[in-house]
Amino acid sequence: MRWPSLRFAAGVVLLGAAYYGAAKLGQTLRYTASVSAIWPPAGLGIAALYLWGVRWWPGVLLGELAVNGELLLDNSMIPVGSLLGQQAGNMAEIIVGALLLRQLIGPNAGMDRVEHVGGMLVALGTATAISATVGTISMVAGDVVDESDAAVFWRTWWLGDTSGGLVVLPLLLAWAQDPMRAWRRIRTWEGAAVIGGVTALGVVAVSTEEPITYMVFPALIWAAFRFGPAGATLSIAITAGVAIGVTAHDVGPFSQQTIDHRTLSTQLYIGVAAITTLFLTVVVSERERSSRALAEAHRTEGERAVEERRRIARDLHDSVSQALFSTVLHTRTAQKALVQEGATPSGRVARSLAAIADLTKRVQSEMRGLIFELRSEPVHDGLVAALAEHATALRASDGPTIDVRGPGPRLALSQRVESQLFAIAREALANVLKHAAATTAQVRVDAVDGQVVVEVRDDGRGFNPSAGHPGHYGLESMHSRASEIGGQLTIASAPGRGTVVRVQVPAEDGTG
Amino acid sequence: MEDASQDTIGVLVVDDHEVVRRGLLAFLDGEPDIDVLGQASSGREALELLASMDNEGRRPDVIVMDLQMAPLDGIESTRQVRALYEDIEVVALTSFGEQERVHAALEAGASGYLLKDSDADDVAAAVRAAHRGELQLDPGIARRLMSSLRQRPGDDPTSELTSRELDVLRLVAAGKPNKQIATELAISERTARTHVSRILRKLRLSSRTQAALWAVREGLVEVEPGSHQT
Repeated sequence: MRWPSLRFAAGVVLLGAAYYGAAKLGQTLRYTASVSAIWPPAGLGIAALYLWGVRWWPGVLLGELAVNGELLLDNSMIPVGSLLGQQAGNMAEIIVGALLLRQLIGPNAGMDRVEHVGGMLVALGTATAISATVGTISMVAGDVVDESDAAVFWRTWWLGDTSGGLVVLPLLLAWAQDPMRAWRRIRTWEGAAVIGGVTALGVVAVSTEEPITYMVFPALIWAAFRFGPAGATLSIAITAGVAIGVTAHDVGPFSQQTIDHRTLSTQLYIGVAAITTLFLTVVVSERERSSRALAEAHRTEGERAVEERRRIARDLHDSVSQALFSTVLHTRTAQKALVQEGATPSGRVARSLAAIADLTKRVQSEMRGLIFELRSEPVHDGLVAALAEHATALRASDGPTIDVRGPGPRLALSQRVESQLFAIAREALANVLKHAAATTAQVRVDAVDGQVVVEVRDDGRGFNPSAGHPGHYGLESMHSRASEIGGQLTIASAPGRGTVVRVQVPAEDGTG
Repeated sequence: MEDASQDTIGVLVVDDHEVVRRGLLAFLDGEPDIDVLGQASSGREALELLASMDNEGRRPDVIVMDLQMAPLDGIESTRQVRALYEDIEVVALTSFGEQERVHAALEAGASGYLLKDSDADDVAAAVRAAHRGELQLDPGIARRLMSSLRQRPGDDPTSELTSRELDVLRLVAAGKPNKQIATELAISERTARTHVSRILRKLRLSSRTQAALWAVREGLVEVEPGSHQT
């Protein structure tokens, strides 16, 4: 036998075994004839054929043959013809269900969208109706079931297959997506707590004779909210398993009822719990998805804004800055020509030209600052380079000289820390320019003993740092930036003695 | 023209912004010792113009070269100019915030650079300094250039230099212009210029700046470490 057919045979046997196992599980809650209150194999078969493809139908057939063969040996009451009819109905149920499911919700649906759950309900309901109808006709024809009981028989069959499908089908579909990821999500303390909660409340809900089956819902809602489709479907399966197990032992609220009512109550309990939880979890999934989309939109919006700022900076640089440089040259040309022509420096034209030259310088300086602001990410060449560039941008003929010194190689700091240090130094320099009336300012960056120190020092008029300057000098913002990066900020100053702003942060390990 | 080229500095202005070219032309033409011989709006146009000027025997002494141009940007143009005409000096013209390009231009062989927000008089001064063969170096940029030189593989080329060339190299590294080198070594300025060209060729370097830095690295002279003064 060639390898692919060997694999196929193995898959068929495996599917058949799983189908048989699911049927055995369903038969533990069997009240009348061959009809179980819960029939999980239908959902299993539909899931297998949906996920792997309809060509795996022989696996389902194998499982069916095993189940019915056993039934035939155990119970000679059921004629072979009825069993064959029932089997044909079950096969049609599973194949139609898988095809319909693929048609309605497409391949690889993870039960995390409203249309997945809706489509699954339609496909499952339709498929199980086929099986229930064909099965009922077969049984009535074989005189296993009396014609007067046909309606109840059909209902029990249909609800059994549907509620079993509602437990098994979403469970398999949700877990088939990414089993490892689903498992990692569940395998936490909270995951253990929610599983424990579902089990405990599930037991409580069906163990007393009081009608308190709603007890299980808080735990199911918890699972739906926190653990996505995989956690929710697992919780539904646990709830169903507990309900079947407990009711089969003749305890709980359903056991007091007639066998028909007991079946119906169990089916409705499981069906309602499953549908409610499934819809809740898809709504939560949809919400998570839209909040992710919103965050993504914010991010691209931010990137677009940065790109736009860069474009404006480029345009300013390409047009206005060039024209200003030319203005400087032309003005100087005119000034020199005027001198050559023997005009006095205090003449009206000379004074106007001097004013134009002065004005142009000032606009150039403003333009530099503006372009620098627009080109965000100021530290992408390193803190020292950014500070040197910023100092150049602040240069003004009437302002202090600003001297920046620091190590040439990149500091062992993340970009975030460098940005904050840059912002602190920029704030300090802005204070120097605005308030200090200094003649020189020095910016020092030092990396010693695993610490990075940034110091901004000026020889200006100083101030009393303990006096408090609410809302002024950006001192609060400097302090909060420093604490945000785990740094220490100190400000040393006294009236007439200049100011030293010093911030110290630990260098980061492993970055050199 | 023969006479003029002895007294005045012939300049070629290369910039893709017409407004800047007009300003530079107007200003430089007003300087008595500077003669603008031509203008080009791109690196390619500049090289074509240089070829035809060379045919006519009126090479410029200094090119004022914008760095951001197309086709052929200022850095690549500088490299080609320095390869084709080693006696023509290039002053790079850059905008604020283009430090990376300045390094590249100096590596390509520019002998100085000017920011586009310099004072007008600085422009004339830079042209004159380049013509005299003076170095203009920001210490920060010098450090960067040194490390880039270090990456250049090469077998000890010092041995190829004559002792006279080593003398000239030491003076170049000390920032002395050709005229002063000529005076100190009692040779003509033209001879000094020839020595410098030969040194550059032997060391496979493209500018005096690089030669000076190379000399510093080889321990021929000392420089003081400086700071970014703004």
